[in-house]
Amino acid sequence: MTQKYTIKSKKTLGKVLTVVKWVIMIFFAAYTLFPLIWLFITSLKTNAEYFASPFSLPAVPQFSNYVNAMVQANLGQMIFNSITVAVVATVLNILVAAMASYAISRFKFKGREIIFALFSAGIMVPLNALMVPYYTIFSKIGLLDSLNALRILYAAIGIPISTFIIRGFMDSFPVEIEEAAYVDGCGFFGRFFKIVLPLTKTGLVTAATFQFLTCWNEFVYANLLTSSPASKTIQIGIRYFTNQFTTDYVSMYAAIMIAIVPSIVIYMLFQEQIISGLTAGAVKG
Amino acid sequence: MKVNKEAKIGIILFLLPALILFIAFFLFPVFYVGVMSLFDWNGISNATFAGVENYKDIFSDRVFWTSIRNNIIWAVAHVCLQVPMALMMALILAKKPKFWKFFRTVYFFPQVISGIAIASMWSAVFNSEFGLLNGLLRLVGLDSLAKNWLGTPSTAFPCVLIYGLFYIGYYMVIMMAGITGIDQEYYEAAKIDGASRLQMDFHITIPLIKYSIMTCTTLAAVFGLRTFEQVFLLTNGGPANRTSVVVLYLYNQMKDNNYGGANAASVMLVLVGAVVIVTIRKLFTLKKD
Amino acid sequence: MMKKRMVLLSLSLAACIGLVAGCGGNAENNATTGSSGESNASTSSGNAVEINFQNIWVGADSKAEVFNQMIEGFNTEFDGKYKIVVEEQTDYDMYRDKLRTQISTGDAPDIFTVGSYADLELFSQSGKLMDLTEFLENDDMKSQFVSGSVDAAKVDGKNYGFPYENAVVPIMYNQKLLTEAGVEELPQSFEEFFDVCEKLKAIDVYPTAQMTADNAFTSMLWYSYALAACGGPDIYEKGFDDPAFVEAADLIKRMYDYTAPDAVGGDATVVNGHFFNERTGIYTNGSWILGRIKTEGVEGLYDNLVLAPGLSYNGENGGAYINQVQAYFCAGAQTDPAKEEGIKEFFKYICDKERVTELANSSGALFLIDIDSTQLTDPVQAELAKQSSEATFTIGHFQGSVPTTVANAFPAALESLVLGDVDSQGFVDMLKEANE
Repeated sequence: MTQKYTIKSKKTLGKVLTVVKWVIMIFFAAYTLFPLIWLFITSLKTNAEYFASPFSLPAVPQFSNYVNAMVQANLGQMIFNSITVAVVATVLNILVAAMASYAISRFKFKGREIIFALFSAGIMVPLNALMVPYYTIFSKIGLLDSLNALRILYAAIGIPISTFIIRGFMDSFPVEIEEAAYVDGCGFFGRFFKIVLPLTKTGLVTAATFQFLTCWNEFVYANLLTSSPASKTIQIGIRYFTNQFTTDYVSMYAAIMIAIVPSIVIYMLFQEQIISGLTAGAVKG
Repeated sequence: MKVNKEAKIGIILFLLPALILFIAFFLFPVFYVGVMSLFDWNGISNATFAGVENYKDIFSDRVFWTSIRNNIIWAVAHVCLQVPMALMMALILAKKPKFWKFFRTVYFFPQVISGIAIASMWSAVFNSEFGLLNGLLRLVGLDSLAKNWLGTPSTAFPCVLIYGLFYIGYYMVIMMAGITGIDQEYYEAAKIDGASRLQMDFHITIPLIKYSIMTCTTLAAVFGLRTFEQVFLLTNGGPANRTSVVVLYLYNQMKDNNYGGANAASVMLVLVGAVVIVTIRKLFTLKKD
Repeated sequence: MMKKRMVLLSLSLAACIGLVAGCGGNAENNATTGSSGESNASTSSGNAVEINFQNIWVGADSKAEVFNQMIEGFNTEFDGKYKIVVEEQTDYDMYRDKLRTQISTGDAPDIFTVGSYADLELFSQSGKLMDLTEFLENDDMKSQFVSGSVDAAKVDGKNYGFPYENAVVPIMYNQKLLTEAGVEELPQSFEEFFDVCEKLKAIDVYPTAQMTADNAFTSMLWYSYALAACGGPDIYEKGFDDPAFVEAADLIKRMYDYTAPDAVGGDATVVNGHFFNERTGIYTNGSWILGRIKTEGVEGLYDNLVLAPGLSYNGENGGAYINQVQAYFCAGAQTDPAKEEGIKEFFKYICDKERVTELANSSGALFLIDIDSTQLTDPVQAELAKQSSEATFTIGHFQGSVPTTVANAFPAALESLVLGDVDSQGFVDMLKEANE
């Protein structure tokens, strides 16, 4: 009797938990979807409607805002620039950070914790305060007004966070697999490419997601280090509608909507990589 | 791993690119900022040596201490609320409930949307006239609670802080990635032992993603300490500097053409951050032993 | 099991190497196409002398269209000789940061604008700006400007820049709302002004629009008008110990009794939203806002607009008008005489009265170029120019007339005043403290 009772209560408890789980999941989804929906609706309003009431629906959807955003700010070229900058900077950054993480995570050598602590402290550096030194560096090496300046800079400023994340993943898988490979005659470089990189793929992809977003959303240095229209990035395009005294909000929101699409696509692509990691792990031997 | 000759060369080769970039873009600029924090400089004319005057100035500035306090609250809230929420959602989604891919994508949206748009929306939500929050309160008859949320000293800081806490996508992604790395055999074994799903979460998943949790905790603390955009766009530190944070403070010093003060504040920020990072790492590695 | 894992491992390894290699290849391609694209863009101008211009009048700015036509016109007229290459600057704060970084680490841009006398002073210290004193003293240049305006732009007796755009700031009333409230005559004094506010409040309209976010712009303008009334035309020279600063603070604090509840923390969007949608009866802003009232205000608002000069207080100092140089043109010092010549040609070109008239008509903005105000086609703008020229005295606004640090301290000091953290004297003390 008592046993039956506990089983029954366990079942009801399970049901309650399921309901709670779904309520939480839906709450978070509504909460996180809200800005996107608002942004989309607002991007279809007129500025007058936006000023009159920011949460109303547009009387007539203004798709012209999107045309305005694309044409006036020349977003096409900017998106292309941003993609090439973000992709190169991300690949460079992840490669460099993964190499450093491998050395720090898998080998005990003098000064490794100091190097790691230094890298980590880099996360705290307020980059906006470094305009003078960064401008000086790129002006000295003659890379002003070049997308390569942004590629190098973005790859560099992401090193602390990427190293931090990737090392976390490398630390968490056991040494035994590597040791087996070591016994099999696999050297320093072989182990990195054949074992460590594949095993930490999820970590690499995670770090790459954030790195890509950092590159995609960076504005201060994109504006500081470039000048000609041919080297402008998407974040400058978004601010094309903000002027000293006037902001064309609805066109700006349309530009933001457009700018979101590539990052969502990248996020979904990268997350697929993580799932394939999950299925790989799920195969039972 | 044993360090033989090949490994020695390898370590150096592998560290070199990161070190070069780090020295060029972090060590050198921060060193420069550190030196310049001892100078009085308006950004244009010649700098004059000022010793520790800039530090004395910011330490005697009430706004600087308000900013520090706000940043600490921010960091604590992120670590104690945001990280656990992210962990919970990661645990739920890792079990692949229905539509989990949809949820995983949606939870990350706020990370993708430009901060300008999110801040504009929330400032409209909190507005006293046409704001959504007051609208809701009036709808349920709580008119007396309606107020100018971002302009009232007692509510401004909580409002600026809280809305972002539920944007957990960033940490959730790290933890989900950690969970995918766990060997399924652990779960198989636990199932045979008759463990419930909750028990598996607590006894297998959480201990095994310790590093992911540590990463998230550290990042949450650090992001809390260097918060800027959210405050800058929503209240710009107001009302009467009550929501100011350190990065905003140093930004305002730059606006005032006081580069010495801005650099001194930067140095303080990096020092505090370094202490926090090392402490968290120590705490997590202590547990291990 | 181990075998399967090794197979999987090698598979993902292959994928990984593919990924890295693939990306690496892309990276190279992208890098080369990117940089070649860039170099193409910067060398496509033949042998004309290229002059770089940091232009903020682009995008959504009301002057953008006609000003860019002006640049095009210049480039055509001097085809093969000079070419103005525009670098578009939209985000104004960032533009200022960039300018300062460029000037402090290297060279000033060839042509640029600064937004305040304080910045003009700061950048002039760098020694990297072109001395325009002689150029501006030439008769053909001198006669272009409103008299006295060029001298007022001197730093240590030299012109490192000349004034161009002028912010003329009227007090604007919504006649329709005033009539509804039973107000028959516009207030002439602050005493009458508060009576009008009382009447507007009675019909559930927020009398004034105030804001404290960003630079607290419209409230800063109200404070400037209060200062003009309390302290007269030379109040800024008197220093912060003058009692007028405290009296004016009393007035602005009182205005916050007559404003929308979202004033503290409100930004320009909030303030404009109220006036554009007839939630607010009285408003103040620079002339550039007129175009937007026309397009974004509710129907009929533009026609209901009544402009007026400043108010008196205790029977003194009425009829003032706020005029503030909003943009100074500057140039970087040049070693190449041809380039210097080109810059000066461009300055002559954009100061031409006919062109500036067109610019004023198209944008609603006003300038310190001495144009014939009868040629202004928009009646509201023409009225504004007329009122300003007939004002008992003109005075700069607070933000543009005090040191940068004081202007930056204003929003927080105002919030402290309005929230009751400090009294009017405390408010002035906060400003003084910022002044060191």
